Amino acid sequence: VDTGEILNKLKKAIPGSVLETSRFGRSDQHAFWLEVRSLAQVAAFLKDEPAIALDWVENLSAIQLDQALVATYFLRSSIHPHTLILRISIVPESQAKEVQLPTVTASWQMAEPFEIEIQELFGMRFTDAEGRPAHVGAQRLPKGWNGFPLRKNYVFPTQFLGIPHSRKSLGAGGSGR
Amino acid sequence: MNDHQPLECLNTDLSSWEIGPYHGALPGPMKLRLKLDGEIFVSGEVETGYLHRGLEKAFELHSWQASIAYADHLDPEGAAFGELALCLAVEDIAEIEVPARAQCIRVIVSELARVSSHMGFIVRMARAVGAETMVHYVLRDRERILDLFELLTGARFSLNFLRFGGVKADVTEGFIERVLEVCDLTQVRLKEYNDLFTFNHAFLKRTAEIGILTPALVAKYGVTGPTARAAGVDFDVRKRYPYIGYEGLDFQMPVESSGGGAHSRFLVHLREIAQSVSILRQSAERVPPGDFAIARIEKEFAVPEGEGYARIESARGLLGCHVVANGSTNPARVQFRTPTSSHLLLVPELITGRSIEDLPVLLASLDLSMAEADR
Repeated sequence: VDTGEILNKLKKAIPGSVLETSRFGRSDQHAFWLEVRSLAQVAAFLKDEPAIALDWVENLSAIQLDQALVATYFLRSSIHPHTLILRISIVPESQAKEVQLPTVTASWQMAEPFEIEIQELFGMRFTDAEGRPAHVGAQRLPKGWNGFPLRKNYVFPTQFLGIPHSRKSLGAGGSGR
Repeated sequence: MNDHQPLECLNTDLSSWEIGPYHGALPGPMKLRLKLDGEIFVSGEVETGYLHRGLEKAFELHSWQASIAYADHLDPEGAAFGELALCLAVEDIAEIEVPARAQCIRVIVSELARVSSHMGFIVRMARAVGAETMVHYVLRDRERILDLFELLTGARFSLNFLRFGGVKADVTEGFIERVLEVCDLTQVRLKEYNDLFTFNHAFLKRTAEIGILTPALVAKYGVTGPTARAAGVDFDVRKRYPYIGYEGLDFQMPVESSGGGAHSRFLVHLREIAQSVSILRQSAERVPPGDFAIARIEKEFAVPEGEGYARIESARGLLGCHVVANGSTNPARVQFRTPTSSHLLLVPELITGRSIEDLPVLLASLDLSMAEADR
């Protein structure tokens, strides 16, 4: 099944889910830009439709492009030779605010470690079908950490546990590297 | 749940046990929160992040030229793999054609890194079962691989050797001869390891029934590399999506169809060393003439706006790298998909129903690298 056929099947099964398609970088691969709320439904369709059977989330990557937070899902099938890239984009109300998006772990449990990491480092909170947080208790950053470190506007802390650690704080006699 | 029968529980009150973040039985800084019924684990949770170094953020704050050195630190035991994944993604964005000689040298470095990392795996397995002799034998042999890295790159672990469009330095006649010598030696050593260890009854007893991994669990958690192949799943990026010339090399993909336990993982690692030796021989005997790099990469080097994704087979499994460039001298984003992030999900699943003494063997057999999981 080529990308065009997958697109047609997807548009037919879940109308309005694909906002646009674009080439991924300079590769021959196409990425489908999805309507955020349709993500979990699209995931279930792509995995369960036998002719498509995209059963692997090989990678889930996030990036901030201008104000928008973009998640990219690199999918492949263990049965068929095809791969696919899905993308969603959300603009947070402010750079200090989290955004919410649906988890895909009901279809692809292997996406869990990626989602947990993105949740804390980008402030993109994944929710289940009822809108509840999908990864409660998962904690990578120290408790009480301020900000989302992989966002572009992140301001680095100058002290940890009350101890200054910037190079300036070392003073003239410091390592000065 | 795994297929094997859990050990008999004593049905005592459950006790909680936390190990880590620093403990000799752990593969690196991490915390295990375990519930036990007597000596039997009834559940477990893994907490990570203790080795988080902000590596992906660091890429954004430094030049493209410096990024190779940062990629080394993704997994210090297999530094070449982080470098290679980054280079392939950047070369895709910038449409850089890499000379055949450089690609061949990259194959040699990658396979040496695989042998080195797999030997590290054998050492950890041997240590987990208390086979001290084996630890020293294999570390002695791994030194020969590290010597080769030192000869070629000047470094033994953090190589900083690959470059966008090639490698840092050319190989010499002496280096090729030594690679072939190490290939001969490793082949002899593999037989010795087998005689000493592989089918030793004590080792079999400690490993055969532990951490039985099924193809269903592999598919559920996204397990790749030798860990997946030891469960009967025949996927290897070098075969499925060949890169840097693997399509022209004659090698097999060892897959273990029976067992799926710690012993199967040990066997697959051993067999993969033999395959890497074969690849090293083929590559070292026909290094093509030509340039080893397209040009020197300076600090002002800028990658044109765009994005690329590369996937390679690291020693531990599928290593993906998503790179975004905005046309400046620094990366806009470098993200890695590391095999250990997925393999950690197996720990609670496989430990349930096993006893305390199995924990070090199980963890060692999953070949986890906390450096690449936390980044």
